[in-house]
Order: sequence, then C-alpha cells, then structure tokens
Amino acid sequence: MNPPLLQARGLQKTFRLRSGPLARSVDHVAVDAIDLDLAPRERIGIVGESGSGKSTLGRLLLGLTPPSAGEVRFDGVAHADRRPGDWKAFRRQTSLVQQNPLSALNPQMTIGQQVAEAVWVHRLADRHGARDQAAAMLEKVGLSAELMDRFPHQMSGGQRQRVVIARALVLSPRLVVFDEAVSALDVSVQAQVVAILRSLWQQLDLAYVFITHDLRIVRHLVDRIAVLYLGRVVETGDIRSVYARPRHPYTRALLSSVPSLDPRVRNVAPPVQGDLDPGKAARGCAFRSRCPLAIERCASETPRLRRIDQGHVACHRAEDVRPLPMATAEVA
Amino acid sequence: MTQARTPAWSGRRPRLPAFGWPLSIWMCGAWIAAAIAVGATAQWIAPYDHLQQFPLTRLAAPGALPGHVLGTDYLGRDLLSNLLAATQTTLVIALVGSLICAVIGTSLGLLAAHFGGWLDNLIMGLADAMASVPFIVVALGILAFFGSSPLLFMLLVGIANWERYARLTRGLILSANLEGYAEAARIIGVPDRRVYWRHILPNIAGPLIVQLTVNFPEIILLESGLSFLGLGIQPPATSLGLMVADGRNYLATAWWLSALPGLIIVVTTLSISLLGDFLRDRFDARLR
Repeated sequence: MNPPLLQARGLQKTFRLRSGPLARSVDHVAVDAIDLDLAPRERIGIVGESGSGKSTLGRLLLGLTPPSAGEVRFDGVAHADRRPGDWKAFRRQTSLVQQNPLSALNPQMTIGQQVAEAVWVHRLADRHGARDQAAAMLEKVGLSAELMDRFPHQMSGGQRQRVVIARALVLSPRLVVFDEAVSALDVSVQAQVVAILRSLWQQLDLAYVFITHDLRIVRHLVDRIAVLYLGRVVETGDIRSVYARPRHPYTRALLSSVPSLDPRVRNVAPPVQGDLDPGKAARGCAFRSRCPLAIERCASETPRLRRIDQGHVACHRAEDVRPLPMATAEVA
Repeated sequence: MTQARTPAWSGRRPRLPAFGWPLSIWMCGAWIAAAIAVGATAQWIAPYDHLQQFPLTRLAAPGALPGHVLGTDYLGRDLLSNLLAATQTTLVIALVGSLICAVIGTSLGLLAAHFGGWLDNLIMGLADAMASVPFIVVALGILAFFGSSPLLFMLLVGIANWERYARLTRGLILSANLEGYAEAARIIGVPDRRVYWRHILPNIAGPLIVQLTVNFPEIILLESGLSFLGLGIQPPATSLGLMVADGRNYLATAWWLSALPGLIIVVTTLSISLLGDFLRDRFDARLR
C-alpha cells in the first residue's frame, strides 16, 4: 500500500463557549480523537448530521483551524512543523470547495480573474498564461471560455459551483476537501456536478475528502466512508460494505432514512429521535440516548472502534444490528 | 447540458455611455469641476485682489454696481473675488483633511481587524476616547497652545473623524473575512496583502465612499466653526466658513455676505454627496 498522503492522529478540537461575561465557560468538543489515513487518489466520504463536527474536521485537515490536540500530517510533514514558506507550498497542493458558491466567489471580480488568480499568485504563469490555464480548467468543468468575463451574480447556482470547483482544481492539487459541495444545488444540477467530479478524478492525480450529510450523493463519489457522530467516528469502512451491511445503529438509521421510491420501503417512523445531545458525550456512548439497542454498558463504557468484517465500528452491540431491508440497501 | 451562446438573461449589460447619466449627476459633476477649477485658478480669474478695499462702495448689493457683480462687503471688498479665494482655501482644507482622515482611519481599522487582540483593544479604545470628547474642544486647546498654522489646522481637521472610518473599516473587514471569498482566496494561497487589496477593499468600498461624502461636508463645517471662533483660518486669509461668520452682523441689511458663501457650502456638499452615492453604485459590479 502507498504511504498515506494525509494522516490524522488523535485529532481533537474543543471550542470554549461562554454565554455571558460572568457565565462559566463550557467546553464543546467538536472533533474528538479522530484517526484518519488517506492514500493518494483515495476518496473518502465523511458523513454525519448537522453539528457532528464534519466541517470542523475538514478545516483541521487543511490546517485552517489549529487542533486542540493531535496532529495532521500531509506528505509526512505535520502542520505544526510547517513554516510560513511551507504553508504556501501546502496551499498549492490542497484545496477546499465551500458549501455556498455565491459567497465563495468575490462579487467584484469576474470568474476568469478569480480562477486565474490562483495560478499567478503562485507564479506558475504570467497573466496571459494564467488566463489560458483558467480557461482550460473552466472548459473541464463544462463552462465555455466565453463565460470568463461574467461576474458571479450573472451565473446560475450550478455554474457558480463549477467555477468554485475549477478554482479549487486549477493548481492541480493532490487533495481537495469538499465541504457540502453539492448540498446547496438542486437535484438535477447535483447530478451534473457529481458527474464532473467523477470525471475529474479520473483525469487528475487527486484525493477527495467529501464532507456531506447526503448519503445518496456520497455513494457515487467515494471509495471509503467514515460516519461521524458528535465528533467521533462511529463507523468506517468500504462504501459498499457499509451501505450493504451497516454495523452501527446510527449508520443503519441514517441509511434507512434515505427516501426510497419503492412503496414497500416507506419509512413510517423517524429513524432517529431527538437531537444531538452533546451534554451526554462525556462518558459512555454518545448515541445511547437515541439508540434503540442501548444497554447499561453503553452508559458506563465508551465504545472504541473495533474491527468487524472489513470495517471498524464503535458500538458494543454491533453484532446485534439488524441488516437493512434489501430494497433500502439497493436504493441507498 | 446546454450552454446558451448569448443568454439574454445574464449577459453583461453594456456600460451606459456617459451621456446616459442622470441630469442631476451631470450638474453635480459640473459644479464640482467648476469648484476645482476655481480652486486651482482663483488668483488669476478673480477680478480684484480679494483684500482690495473700496471704502466708497461698501455693502453694495449684487448687481447694483457694474464693477462688482456680486456686490461688496462691509469694507468695500469685492465679494466675487473673496468667494473665489475662500472656495480655494476651503476646498484644499476639506480635501486634504478628508484624505488624511480616510487614510488614517481605514488603516487603523484594518490593523485592528487584522491583528485583533491587544492592538484591536488599543485602537478601538482610542476611537472610543475620541468619540467621547467633543473634538472642537480638543482642537481649540491644541490650536490655542501651538498657535494656528495652516498645516496644523489641516492635520487637526483631518484627524477629527478618523474613529468613524476605523470603526466602520474594522467591522466591514471582520465580516468580510468570514465571507467565503476571502477565505477561499487565502486557501488557494493568495497573500494577505492581496486579499485585502483585491478582494476585501473593493467589496467594502461602498460604505467607505459614503463615509467620505458624509465626512467632507463635516470638515467644511468644522473648519467654519473653528474659523468662526477665531482659531481657524486667520485673516487676511479667508475661507467660506469665515465669510459666513463675518457676514452675520449684516444679515438684516446685507444678506448676501453670509448667504452666498453659505450657498456655495450647501451646493458643494450636496454635489459631493450625490456624486459619491452615484459612484458607489457604479463601482459595485453587482449593481452594474
């Protein structure tokens, strides 16, 4: 196996919250003890509901937020050891695609300028060369060069998101983090963008970290998946085996919540009740208050990731999780 | 997917030709151009030296004497010549003062927003201190202590409102830094300086331009106030504010002594406000 491109060890991020000047501050653990390895050209999906810490994880991986504990290595070099000059080289090799394409683009610059800017701030070409490279990249995401002089507000949502993708990929990075990159788009446009991302991956030497809550989309884009619950990885493994046979009750609930077109597999009850409950996360399994299989042991002992079949699961009762009905597994 | 060649819905609207500007903007522009021309050439186009006195024709009404189109003041000085000289002084002071103010305030606001921490607290503390003391009292103290000189005076009116720019700039930059585009630029490796200059500044220019057009008239008024109190522009030099102050004793009998310089102040400040507002909209790509 190739040496990992990206490696995270014991990654943790704690935010200190304070409700008022005199209130006691409360620590909120957004990301907790995460280990992650990503090989070159590997594609991993990170899924979880809102507040599970998936965006924070993406920012930690790219060194946009300093971790509270643990370290991230890219190409064997830890973020903490990087000097200002090294950061520039790192930025060239990594990129982030943000969730909202309208705010991710500067309203006062044309899209051609914005895509070309990446090339020429790294002194990879002069202005004309940068513009040519930008045009070529825009062509790759299906935008004709005639659109280069448009401003972002003159484009549709799908076009903007493709501009953002073009800007992220114009430097031929080796790692791109997609933070809910297609969630804001409507379904027909999502399909287009997914197709573009798949074909770009085939053309370029790229590793993807795909952060999303959308289980339908991620299936078409990644090889491996990590399910996050309150900042912890509760299940990880090959995408097919996880979808076919989820081992964590939370993963199972997420998968069975994917709407199905098959009338035999209507969801009658909501798969997970209640909201995320960070207060209970301190000891025991964080998911136990919402878990149908919770037992006493779940409250006293925090489950650790352990190997089951091909993947890893953090659940005491993983063996008791029922398989999904066949039709659901297929649709998802 | 289909890619329309020339989509009517989103094509870049051609820029309006200059003659498509509204008439009011033309008038504002013409007035400001005229004021600047007067400011540059007052010495040469004035019919008389503005200090020359004609004791026999004091307080002549506008149009009453063929040699003095706008009349004369209480010493028989030609009002038109005086107005030209005063416009020059006032414009120079207001222009230099506004620029000093904008540069100092914007820079300090940027520093506060960029570095945060104790520097932010220090700068914003200074700004609060500035805002809590009536500036005219401070200015009076400084002018009385050091004596009035044109340079000191310009500096003083320049720093009068810096805290507004600082506060405005700081807030705008803090929120712009959280916008996706600023972060996206940093992620692809654009250096901070360029992020501020190319990405953030054009996006926050609108409110700053408006602040400039609000500040410009205020500096004229501050100059007038200080001159009125005798610590600003010193005779024999003259300014619009000084002329208004000078003419107040004759309001009942010779209204033009105060009214004409007052009118120039009003029209100039109004023109600058309207033009600034218009330019802000023109510079904003979203509104083009």
